[in-house]
Amino acid sequence: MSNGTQGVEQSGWPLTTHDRHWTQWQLFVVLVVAACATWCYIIGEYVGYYLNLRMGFAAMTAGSMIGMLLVTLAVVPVATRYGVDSIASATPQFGNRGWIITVFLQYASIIGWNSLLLIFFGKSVAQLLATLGITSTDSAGMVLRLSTLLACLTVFLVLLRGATGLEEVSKILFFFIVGIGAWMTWLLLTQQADAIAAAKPSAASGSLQWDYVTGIEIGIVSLLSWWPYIGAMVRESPNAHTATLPAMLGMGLPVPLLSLVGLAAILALQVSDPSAWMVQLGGSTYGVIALIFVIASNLGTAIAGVYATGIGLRQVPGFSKLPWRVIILMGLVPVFAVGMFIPELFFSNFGTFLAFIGVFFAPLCAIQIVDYFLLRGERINIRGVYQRGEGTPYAYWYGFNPAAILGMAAGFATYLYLLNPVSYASHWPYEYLTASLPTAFVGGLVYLIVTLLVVKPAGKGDYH
Amino acid sequence: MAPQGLDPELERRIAELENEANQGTGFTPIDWFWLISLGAVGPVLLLYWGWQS
Repeated sequence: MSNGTQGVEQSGWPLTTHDRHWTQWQLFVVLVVAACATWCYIIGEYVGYYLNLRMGFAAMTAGSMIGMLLVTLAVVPVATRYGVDSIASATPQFGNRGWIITVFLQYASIIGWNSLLLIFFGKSVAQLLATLGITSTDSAGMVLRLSTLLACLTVFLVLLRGATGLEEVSKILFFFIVGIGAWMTWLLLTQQADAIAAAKPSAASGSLQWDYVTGIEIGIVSLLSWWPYIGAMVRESPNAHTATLPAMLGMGLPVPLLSLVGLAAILALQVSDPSAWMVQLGGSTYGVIALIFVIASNLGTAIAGVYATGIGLRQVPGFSKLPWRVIILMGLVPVFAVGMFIPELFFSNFGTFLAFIGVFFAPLCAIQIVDYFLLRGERINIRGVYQRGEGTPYAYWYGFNPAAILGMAAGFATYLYLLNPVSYASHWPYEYLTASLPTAFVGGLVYLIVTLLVVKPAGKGDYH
Repeated sequence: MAPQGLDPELERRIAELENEANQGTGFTPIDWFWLISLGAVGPVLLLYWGWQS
């Protein structure tokens, strides 16, 4: 194939308006399924260390919607105007070699998250089977590995049909996720209302303002991690209008709503994993229901993640004409290997790496927003996105745009000064501004200044 | 290095998208209303509500 014979949905090439058929509802369903996963409980759990239910819900929801706004403004206009994914949408800012930075961020982030999700999935299966007396706790490692294998195989088979497979599976998973998720939330809030009301956050700092801002920060940085995912899906919609509400309500809002379950559970029951606390509340039957939820939600997110990775990898020279099944395997094999060989090691340590990876998405979003809305008048050179070599619109200097690299570096340094993403040690003015918002501001500002003072005067970057 | 040639199918797609009439349109005023409401004003109100507890 040319890429066309393989199915344009599986290519990294731009989709024309004739290829983009997803309605608002179809996109909403896919984005909800992509957004809902075990990480929501982790987000809720972290917020529950610092805040009570009301403050935690308010902070994490507000932060999530602010983060989603940044991601939406960065990716949706370009992706829906030209039918491109997140990686291609960033080529005008990073250069026709510099996009490798965004491919690395996407690949590492999604592979990492997928590995964590599937390990969670395997742990839930092992725990439930042990609870039901089907297996012993000694065989948990083997169950985890078999579960990972089964999950990877399912993702592979679904994605053989590309975006169509993703959309069709999402329609099924959607009802499990929304139905069971809403029921679990109601169950927890009604049965444990007194315990939740009386619960005190276990790691409150002593400064309510610091705790509140930390809840907001957790929400923002969590949703910024949607940057690698969103482009591959919103490019299936014909215009920005079709994608706006699905992005904000389908990908932004479900995370804090589902995180409420984790927040309430950690406050009331001191455990956020539903496959554990559902057994406490209703025995093994409830445990089975929780497991179905974990299966559906993590599987949906893993499918969306591998699909987005595949589209992103298509931008790498030499990968554009590989068979789609090989591209899927490139997104799945690392996940499979982690689940098979180093699940515990990965589970214990990879969170640190993901925390640092997540820091880059704030300046990345700001750079795209500044470039597209302020510097380029809401247009890019779509031909230039796919041209390589010197003399092309986005060649900059040896394919790299120094403005983007300096903006990312300045943003990263700003974040590390304000907040250590692992230890949560902070510096002024974190307790007033969060870390991600100043990081985005600094990253965008540095990009703007370097572009105006250096890049544009040098005639680079196809600015008019 | 001179610009490399593009795959004919990719070339066809780009040529089509270079015509502005074939591009997806950007945010409408209604979209901006929702973006600002859900991503800025709503969060501020929510934070005020949460802080009152």
